[in-house]
Amino acid sequence: MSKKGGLNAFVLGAAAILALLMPAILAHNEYLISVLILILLNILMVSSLRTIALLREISLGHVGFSLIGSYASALFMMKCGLSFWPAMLASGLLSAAVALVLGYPFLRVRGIYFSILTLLTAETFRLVAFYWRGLTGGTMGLVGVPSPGPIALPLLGTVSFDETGAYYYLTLVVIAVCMGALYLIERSHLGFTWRAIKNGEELSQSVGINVIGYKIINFAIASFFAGIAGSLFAHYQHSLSADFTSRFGVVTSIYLVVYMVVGGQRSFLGPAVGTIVLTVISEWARPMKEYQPMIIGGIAILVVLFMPGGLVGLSHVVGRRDKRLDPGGGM
Amino acid sequence: MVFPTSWGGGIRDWTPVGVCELEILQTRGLTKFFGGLAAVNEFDLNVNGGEILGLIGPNGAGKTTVLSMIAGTLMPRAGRITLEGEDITRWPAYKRTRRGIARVFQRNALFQDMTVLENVLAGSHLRATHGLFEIFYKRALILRQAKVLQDRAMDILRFVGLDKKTGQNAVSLPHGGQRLLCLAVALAADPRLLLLDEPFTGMNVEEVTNIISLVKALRDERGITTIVVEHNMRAVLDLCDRAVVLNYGNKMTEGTPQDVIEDPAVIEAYLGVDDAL
Amino acid sequence: MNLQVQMWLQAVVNGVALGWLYIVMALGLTWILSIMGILQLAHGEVYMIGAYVVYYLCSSLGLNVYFSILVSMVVMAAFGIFLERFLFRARADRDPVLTPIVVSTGLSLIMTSGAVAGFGLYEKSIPRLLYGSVRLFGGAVPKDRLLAIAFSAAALLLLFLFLKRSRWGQAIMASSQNREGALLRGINPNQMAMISMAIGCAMAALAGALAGSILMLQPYMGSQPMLKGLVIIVLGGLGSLPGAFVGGMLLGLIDGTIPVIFGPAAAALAPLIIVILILLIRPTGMFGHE
Repeated sequence: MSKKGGLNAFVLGAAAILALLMPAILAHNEYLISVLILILLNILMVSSLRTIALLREISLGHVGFSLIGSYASALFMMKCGLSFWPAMLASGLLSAAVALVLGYPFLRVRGIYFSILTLLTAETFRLVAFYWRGLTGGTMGLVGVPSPGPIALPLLGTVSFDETGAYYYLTLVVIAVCMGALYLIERSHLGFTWRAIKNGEELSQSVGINVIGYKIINFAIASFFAGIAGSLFAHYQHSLSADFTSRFGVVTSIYLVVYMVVGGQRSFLGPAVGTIVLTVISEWARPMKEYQPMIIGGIAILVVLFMPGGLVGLSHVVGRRDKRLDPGGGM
Repeated sequence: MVFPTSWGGGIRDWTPVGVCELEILQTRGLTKFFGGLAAVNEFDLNVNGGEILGLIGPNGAGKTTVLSMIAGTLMPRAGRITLEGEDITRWPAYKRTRRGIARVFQRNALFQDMTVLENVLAGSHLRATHGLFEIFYKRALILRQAKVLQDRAMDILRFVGLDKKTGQNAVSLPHGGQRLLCLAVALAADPRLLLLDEPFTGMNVEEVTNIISLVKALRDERGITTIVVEHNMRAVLDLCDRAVVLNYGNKMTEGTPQDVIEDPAVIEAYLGVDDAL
Repeated sequence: MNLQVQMWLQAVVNGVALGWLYIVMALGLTWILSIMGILQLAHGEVYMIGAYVVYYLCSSLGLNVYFSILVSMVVMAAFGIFLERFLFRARADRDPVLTPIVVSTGLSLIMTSGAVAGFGLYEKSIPRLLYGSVRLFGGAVPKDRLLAIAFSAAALLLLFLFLKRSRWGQAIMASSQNREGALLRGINPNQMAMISMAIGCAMAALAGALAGSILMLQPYMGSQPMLKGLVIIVLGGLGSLPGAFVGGMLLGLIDGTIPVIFGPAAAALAPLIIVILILLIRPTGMFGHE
């Protein structure tokens, strides 16, 4: 077990160093770094989507909470005069609050209804943002979203976040903290209770677990992180639009689920793996224009049909050959 | 076979159950309809603290339905359920567990995909008390609590005899083992009233005797009250202090198991439905 | 009749025609969902491809439009059978809820990009079913809208008769209510699933073709009706065909009146709020069971 722990630490360390050096590796290519930023945001989105999946619920409208986070954060800075960090936190909390309210009717019903409802909700949020000219600029979109204010750092002087490179590091730090939080939550008693609910809902009720309460909290936590990702998105793009092809459309929700399944939802880092691999493939396939979604769709179908554990699952299959000798299984 | 009576470490403790209360559970006029059919009709029950009560009757008499209504997984159409004076009729199941009711289901309801030890730890849910944000900074406290919970779980597993199998996946246990694990999970919730739904199905004589002695030990050492729904008459005779007979949803008679089983009306009810005696 | 009222009348008739098409869509979707337990997220794309097949047959092969619609229904039904057999059939190692969702979303991506690749992003059109209009309520109503309504109603009626009267139909109903019971009676659930999928896709193709003749075709035309279909399912209740019908009528009413009174933002919000309210009161939808 400690051998595996050592390997994990090594891999994480290497990944961290790689992440820190990426801008240099990419020769400060602005476009590529912006892709990296989107990868990071998607990693958080897909990981929080997986949090919901820990309870065997599939949210098809996760982008809806990201939308709330984006617009709220932008408006908090633009209309309420908040600075970046409070705005980001507030927008995350707002997303969580909306999830708390919606959670009760949504999570009481059968699983497939939940998926449909989340899909409808995200679309509704998007349409409201699209049409409400007074609040969100309507069809014109919201423009002029400010960057986070510059901060003074010891060695680097005053860092402005108007430029992509600096924003990349900001995103990296925030995402890393959020992922750390998600990991701790999953390993905590809360995560264990979620596991119990997933593995035996009626029995959970019977041992005193308030199942619907825990499901709602799960939904709220996941939505909080979606809101944070949305906030980071808003202050990077400097403008938000809610039309069908925007980031807040149905297609993005679909992509998030695909990233999660291809990466493998049984492992904490599965979403990250899936996001990175598929985004790289998308970028590589970009010259193929209209065929690009076809490739992603095809990969998704093949993986879900023939590799139920996702890409991460492959490594477990390889490792399992040793485990078969040990009947205990261990915790 | 000593059932552990105390554990510290900052985890919530029940106030110790010393003397048996006179009446721990009471139902009045409990009624449940399925479609147009009355599964349970105006059922009155008194359960005394510290007794082992058998709920018997032919198939389809409504025994499991009564148990489900007491546990909270079914809501009665009419009637009242009182637990130590508190009206719990409309309470959801998890709230009743907090008040001390635990249930062992008829089928082997276990947490799939989790080990034996994890099952009992999951059952100990009510004993783990820390908030969400504490996981970020009170790590030492949490580790200590986890250790205490683990020790407690091991004690419970030792009591039922599964302490050698903690790492096994719950569903890989043989039927008898799974039954014992279900009991362990229910015990982990630290109940004062235990509801056993046909605990002896599929068990051989040895396993039946084992469970009977376990339940009696729970009564003697911990003062746990038990309601048992069962078909196996020999077990009921051996285990129960008192028995209540249900037929077609109505209470037929009650008394000591010996009296009840020899009651001609009861025998006829059973023979009429061609049940095993 | 003055122009304003004429426009109103057009809008109402269009709305009603579209409403019926949405119902046909929703029926196909709820059908697949309740019988096969699959959330077929690419159902809107089946609708879209159904329309494009008609376009291809009419414009490239010069076939008659009615005949093309029929062919399209058959083609998409066959496609549905292919989908069920190879993509959606449940297996032990596949998560029964997640797998169909991912498969159908992947399928949706493939189909939309296929349509873009094959036909381009610009809108296309199919010949109208009928030219001219009819005098109704003092104004001129285009005949093809009425025909679309008639075809939709006919399709629903046929479906209803099929379910209630034919042997296959009853077998399918039995299969959806109780899989094991149906197995015991010698009904082959895989066969039922294939037939259901075929019918569901044929209906989507019909709706798509009819919609295409009223509106324009474009590769993303399927997502709006799909979402409407989902709202209808949730409103009406899972597994209930009459529920889908009532839900569709309700949605048509909402879609028709709310935007006029409250504006488009409220129009987007209204269905969701009503859905939430209904689910709070009845977690299985208005008529749903299980």
